[in-house]
Amino acid sequence: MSGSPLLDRLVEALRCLPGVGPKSAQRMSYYLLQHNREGGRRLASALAAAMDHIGHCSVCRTLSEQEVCTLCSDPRRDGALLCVVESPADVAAIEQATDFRGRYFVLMGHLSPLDGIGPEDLGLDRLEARLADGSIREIILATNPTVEGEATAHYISEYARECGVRATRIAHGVPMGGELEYVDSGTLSHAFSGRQEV
Amino acid sequence: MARVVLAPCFVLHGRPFRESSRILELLTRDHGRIGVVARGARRGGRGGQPFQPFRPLLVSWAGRGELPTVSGVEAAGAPFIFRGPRIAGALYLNELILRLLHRGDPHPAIYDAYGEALARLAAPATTEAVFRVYEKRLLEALGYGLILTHEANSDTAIVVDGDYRYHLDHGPVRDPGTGMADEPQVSGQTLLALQREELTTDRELREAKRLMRFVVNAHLEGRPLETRLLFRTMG
Repeated sequence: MSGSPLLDRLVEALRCLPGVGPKSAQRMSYYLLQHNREGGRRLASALAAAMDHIGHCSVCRTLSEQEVCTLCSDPRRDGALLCVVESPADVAAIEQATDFRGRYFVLMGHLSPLDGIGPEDLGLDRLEARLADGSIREIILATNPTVEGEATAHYISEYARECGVRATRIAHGVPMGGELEYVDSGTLSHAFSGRQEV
Repeated sequence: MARVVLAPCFVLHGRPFRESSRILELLTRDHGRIGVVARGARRGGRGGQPFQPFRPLLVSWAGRGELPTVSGVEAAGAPFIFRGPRIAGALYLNELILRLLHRGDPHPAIYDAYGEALARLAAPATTEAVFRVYEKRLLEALGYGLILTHEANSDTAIVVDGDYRYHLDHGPVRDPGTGMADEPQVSGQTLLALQREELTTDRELREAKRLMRFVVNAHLEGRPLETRLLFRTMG
């Protein structure tokens, strides 16, 4: 309670952010009001614009304020290579880490039968239509190496095979700079069974 | 419940909770199915994410109430790794427990049947018999065991070449001509093979599947199993 209902409302609103409890929300509110009103106004207008205008790309489902996102409309990218990921953050991670220059499809989740999330919740009908139209040569399944991610990858790979599209799965194994002793047994057994000729 | 140290268990299911935690459903040998909160479990870190399903674990937890907090975890063996359509099969094992077994109802027999089913499902040569044996043991432990050795309401033993109709409450009835249309027909050979847990021929597997589906569905109270839908599409 601060004696200002508007301030209380701001503190309460800031708490919707991850990692922000009542104390941090209060500190942020006082900071913006006392030291950086201009920054606060910019934050408010950026937030409002983003919340109102960012939707999903109609081709790959990632977050975008355009009908078709910039990655999907970039003519220099190879449309015959399609990488399937679970979230927009995965697109950013792959863009930063690799020289992949194909296109993406973002599931916005994974198959999770025990939570009642099935193929129709992931826009797989749209992905299937893209696979069926014959323009894709290879589909790279970059879902997470969890049980649900594997199930999702398998599900899509079955469909790709029906359409005659080559499906590949990203490798998983010992992390760079890691020490075998500390790697968990599941990762290590995967790495071992997926060993390669040198 | 105050404090449990290194209880053997499997994770059946996990879902995100708050920012970095997960709520896990565990199947333990001695405490039955329990829900716990694993704080910080979504951050992973160097060792990766320990709370994956199909991995024998030793978990410690403490706290009162519905959701105690995990205080430690260790791997208790190599994880079972499933690929392709078998992932749906393995998830089916989990869903069946989540649907049929309530929290805090210890059944070491279910834990053992589950561990054995995972091992058999992960083996190179596996058949649907894995699921039938698992379903049979699960129902048995829950007190819904099937009658497979004698006819309904009598001491007459099941004969190999007999034809039966399975009545949900009473068991196998000879004389398949009468009865409800949805009661599965099943041969004496299949009933006895299921009793011995040695389903081998196509006919035994087919009949046992219909029989178990009928009995399992009766205990699901009308809500279908999600993993079965996935099965259909994953082949």
